[in-house]
Amino acid sequence: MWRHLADTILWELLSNTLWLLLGVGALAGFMGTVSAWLVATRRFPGRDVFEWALVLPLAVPTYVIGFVFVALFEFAGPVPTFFRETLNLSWRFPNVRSYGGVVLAMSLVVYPYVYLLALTAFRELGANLTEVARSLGCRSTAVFRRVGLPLARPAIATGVALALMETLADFGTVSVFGYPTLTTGIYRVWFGMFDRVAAGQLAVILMLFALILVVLEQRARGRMRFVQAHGRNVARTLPPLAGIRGWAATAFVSSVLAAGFVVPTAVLVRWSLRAAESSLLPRNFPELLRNTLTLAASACLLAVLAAVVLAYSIRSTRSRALSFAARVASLGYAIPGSVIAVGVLLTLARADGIINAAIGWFGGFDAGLILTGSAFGLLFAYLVRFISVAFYSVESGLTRISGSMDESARGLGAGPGRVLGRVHFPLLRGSLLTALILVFVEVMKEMPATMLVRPFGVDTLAVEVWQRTAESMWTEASAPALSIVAAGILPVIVLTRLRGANEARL
Amino acid sequence: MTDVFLSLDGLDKTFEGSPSPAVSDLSFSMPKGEILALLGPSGCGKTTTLRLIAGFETPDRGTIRIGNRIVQSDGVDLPPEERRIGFVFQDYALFPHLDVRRNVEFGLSGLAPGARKRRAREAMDLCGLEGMDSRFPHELSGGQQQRTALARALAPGCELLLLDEPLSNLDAALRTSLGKELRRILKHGGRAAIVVTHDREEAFQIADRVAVMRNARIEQVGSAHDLHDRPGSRFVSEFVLDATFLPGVVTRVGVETELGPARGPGSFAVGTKVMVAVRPHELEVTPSRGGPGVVVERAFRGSHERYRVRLPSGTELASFRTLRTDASSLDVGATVAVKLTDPAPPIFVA
Repeated sequence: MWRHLADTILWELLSNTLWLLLGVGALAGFMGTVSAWLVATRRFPGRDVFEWALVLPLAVPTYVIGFVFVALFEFAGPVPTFFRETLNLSWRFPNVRSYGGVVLAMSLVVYPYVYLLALTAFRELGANLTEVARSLGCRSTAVFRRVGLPLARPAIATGVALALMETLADFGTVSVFGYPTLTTGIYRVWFGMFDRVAAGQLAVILMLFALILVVLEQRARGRMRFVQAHGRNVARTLPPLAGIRGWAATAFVSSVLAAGFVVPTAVLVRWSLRAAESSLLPRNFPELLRNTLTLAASACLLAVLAAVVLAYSIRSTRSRALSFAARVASLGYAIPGSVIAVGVLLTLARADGIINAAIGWFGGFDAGLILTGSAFGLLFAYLVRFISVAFYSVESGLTRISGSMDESARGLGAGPGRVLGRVHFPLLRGSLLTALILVFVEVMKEMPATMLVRPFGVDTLAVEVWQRTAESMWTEASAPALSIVAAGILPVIVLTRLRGANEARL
Repeated sequence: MTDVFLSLDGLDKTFEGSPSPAVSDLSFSMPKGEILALLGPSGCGKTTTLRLIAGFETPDRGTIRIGNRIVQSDGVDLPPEERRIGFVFQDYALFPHLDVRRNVEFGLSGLAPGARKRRAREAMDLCGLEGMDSRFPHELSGGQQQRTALARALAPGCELLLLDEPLSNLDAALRTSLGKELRRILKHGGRAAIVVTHDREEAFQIADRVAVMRNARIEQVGSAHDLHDRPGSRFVSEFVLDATFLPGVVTRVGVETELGPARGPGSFAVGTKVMVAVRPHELEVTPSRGGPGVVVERAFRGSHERYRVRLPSGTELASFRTLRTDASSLDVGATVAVKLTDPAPPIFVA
């Protein structure tokens, strides 16, 4: 089996995946770091808007920007056509379905991970260090090179690791661009060759990549703590970038934002309108919406419930085994949906077999595929993948409730129930809501796990986007894609407001 | 002051969104080799003044000259990296990714390796950092961090050093010993220095002259003696001399107060209502059955006790009494006789 895989596609998939990670890591790292440095340290036209707007591309799933890019820039697409026919240029427009195209499209929506973490790091390292460096004779580029960059390196590494996890999980973009990676390989082997063992083996390799990223991320986070020793003496006024340099900063930041969010969203809106006019909207749109919302709502309730139980068990028992279990469970966010899908399917298929055998032994009916054939499998897959998102929110909320708060409430005569209702719930409400929203939207966006594990005939918005884009029906894909982007803006707002509140508290 | 080295002229700065100015019409100058303390309560604009000199903030108006260079005025705004000023932050702002030696060498990157090493060595030795070369900031005590920040600011050899609350992050014992050493280090090499502080002991310990700031303005500049003998305002006598105030009225022969006549140096018109500044050690308090004062508060201060005494009119005055084993201590509620021993107390218009 290995020999067969290796001979045919394995090396191609491996090297493609590796190159993709390198390319996106470098480009997204560059875009995120530079824009964070500009926003954190300098005043330039539009800075205050860019500060929060630069996070918006996070709302665009990779597979959406992927197909918009291909649709705009493929040979018959509007941009090359414009160049060719209206401007009459003989220059050949570069092929968008290329390594460069994939890397660029992907980087434009995953750089905000780097941006967010680097921004926080640059801010925390603070005005003091920057100013001291300047009083010791450093110009601003030297300050960046000698102080900013070395100190923010762990944060940048963490951001890049998160961005690469997203890249590794992506299925839609690489398939639209025709750039085979391990993720698409799993799908191809599973559905095209019906080779479950080989798919499992590919999943294991993909998982290794993901684990390497987790280790990188954890190590970088560890170093972040060491570096964050110094004060938060933020300058009251940022020094301006004067004249042409200020406008250059604006140009750089706005082109990143335009390519990653403004243009794709505008294009989607336009195409959705066109689709509505020429009745190209999916006929089953209400059903898609209903399926998506039902799945997302059930999954987010389930995940938050599980997260609350887990977080409270750790808090009340202080069991080290439990917190280790929680850490393992929270690795799910790093593992691509396709890997989880394969794992869930292989496990549940066996469970189905046992259940059927048991029922048959009792002389019952033919139960069919109770687990793999129903929404149970899919919800289980979502839970595995996104429980960490819920867990982190709940846990960070819980850490703000100190043990002495419980004790003082008890000392004032409140029973455990009252403590929960009057102290914990009001304090946790925000975190719970955040957790619900985050998981809800993540589930809405999740493509590979949904496609592999969904019960037969159940389509969601994400699945619809993929099916249409696989047939290059861009206009038809735009309305479902736009719905997903619109929903994706929600957590961006929530997270931005949360950050604002956190900073206000400091 | 013939040889002016640093001069500030008419500096104004109001921060965006702030109703009142942070610094208003600020002017002073100092000669080479002097240590000046900017003393004032928090929020009075002393740190902003320091940051304006360093070039971290841009004033709305005003001129700053260092040596024979204009670093700030209309159309001139030299960036901090070109002002050649050493700056020591309150929290030291050491680079956490560099060890002590590389922190100190940070500002010497233009030099050849040999010269760089020698200069860093000199600064570190001057600040008492022998053997600390390869320690990282988080491995240092507060005092050592302070020394490193100082050495780093001194190493490039600039002629003006600015220090923002240099001792405020240290514990009390260290503050006194390091304060003395700070003065020695600053005096070495004859460079000028400005030290911002809210602690008057610290200001007098380190500086040659003290500029008292309040509400964005300088109230008075002078040596410790100047300030003690001729406080320029009620605020200076209260903040710097710890004075309390006794109301009085100017008569033909002097000032009439509740404690009898007090002669003052002021030349006020007869009938003017004034406040007599009473420095705590110039107020003698002795036990007396008939009063007229009552002790309302007392606090041990190591070598002396500080009393707060209420007079029949309700005026409260502070007094120091040296602690002696033979003298009886006064409890709260004790009645006392009160006498002003200062022959010429400072007097201000009420």
